Amino acid sequence: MEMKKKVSPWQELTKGLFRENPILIIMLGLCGALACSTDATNGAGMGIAFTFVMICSNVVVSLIRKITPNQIRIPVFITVISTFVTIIDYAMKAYAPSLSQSLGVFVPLIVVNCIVMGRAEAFASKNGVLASLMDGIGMSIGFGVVITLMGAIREFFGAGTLFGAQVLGAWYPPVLIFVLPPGAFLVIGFLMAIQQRIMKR
Amino acid sequence: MKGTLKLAIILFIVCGLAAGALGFVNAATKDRIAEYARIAKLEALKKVFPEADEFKETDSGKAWDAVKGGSSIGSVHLVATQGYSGPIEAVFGMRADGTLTGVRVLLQTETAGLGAKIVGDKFLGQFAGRLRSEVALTKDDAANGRIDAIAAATISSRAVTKAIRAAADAAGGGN
Repeated sequence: MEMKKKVSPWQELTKGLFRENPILIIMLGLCGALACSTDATNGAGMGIAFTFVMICSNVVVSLIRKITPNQIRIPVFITVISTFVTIIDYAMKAYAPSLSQSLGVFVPLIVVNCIVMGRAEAFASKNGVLASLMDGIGMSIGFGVVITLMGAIREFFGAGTLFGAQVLGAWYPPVLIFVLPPGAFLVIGFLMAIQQRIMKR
Repeated sequence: MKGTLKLAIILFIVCGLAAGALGFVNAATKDRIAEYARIAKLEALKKVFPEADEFKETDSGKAWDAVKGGSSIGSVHLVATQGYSGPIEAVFGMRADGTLTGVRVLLQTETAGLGAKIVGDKFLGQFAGRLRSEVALTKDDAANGRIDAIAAATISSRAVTKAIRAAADAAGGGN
């Protein structure tokens, strides 16, 4: 059934990495990306929680796309997404309490992360399960890599550490602004500029 | 009308399934979550009062008697206050003579890199060994205060210091 599509599942996956990167190109879900990238560990943790929700909700939305009446598709999608968010929230509280504490309210807020909702509405509700799964994986990797990279850059300049380990010596005065909210905007701006530059080549 | 009913029923079924799944996850994780909360609290008590080997709750979730070898040697208190950008919760231990044994911040939402340093040892380490009358910022009480505020985070530092001082004075003991 997926065979007649022109786009291969592999292409569905890779498009999320660069060409249609959710943060840098589609520019959705910036709230979580900006707030949870204070250090590399938080970024990676958010990426993992996001991956679970993104993939599961894309698959389920795709599975039920034919029996979901058009009029109530949004409430149905939100119910599906929030269920998975709550599951990962509980799981993190039970198995990774310290990570759960540092991500705080932003895990529950994945519910309103526009990427998850956007992919459910724009992709999973119109495409088969395999394609939706691939799309979910690609978007998750695209999101996870960018948010972890942002976290690493902010942590490196803002605290002189990487994943909590000291990399720069005591001689380095941490540039606090990178850890503060404005730093998130600076870093994301530079990343977008670099991405555009590479794409124009 | 019939169409509307059908939509309602479908949405009802979806929500029912979601609720069922969540109930299952909740049942599977709730004991572990509660256990972590209990261990985290006990560890915090142990850290602020290392000499004690047992803690007896005297005020539910707020105050504990620090017991060593069957007799009380001091107390541990939980204080809650308002910081620069949200609530702060801390526990501190105090010997019967009014000397602090240690402080630990359990919950805070202060600015990363500035106020959030109130959880660090550089700031909290100043409390251990101080008499409760010395628990004040040096810039607020030059004569008695022995606690240096964190640079550029006076409000956060002051909030913690004042909350501990108030609770320590209320608990009494010593001087």
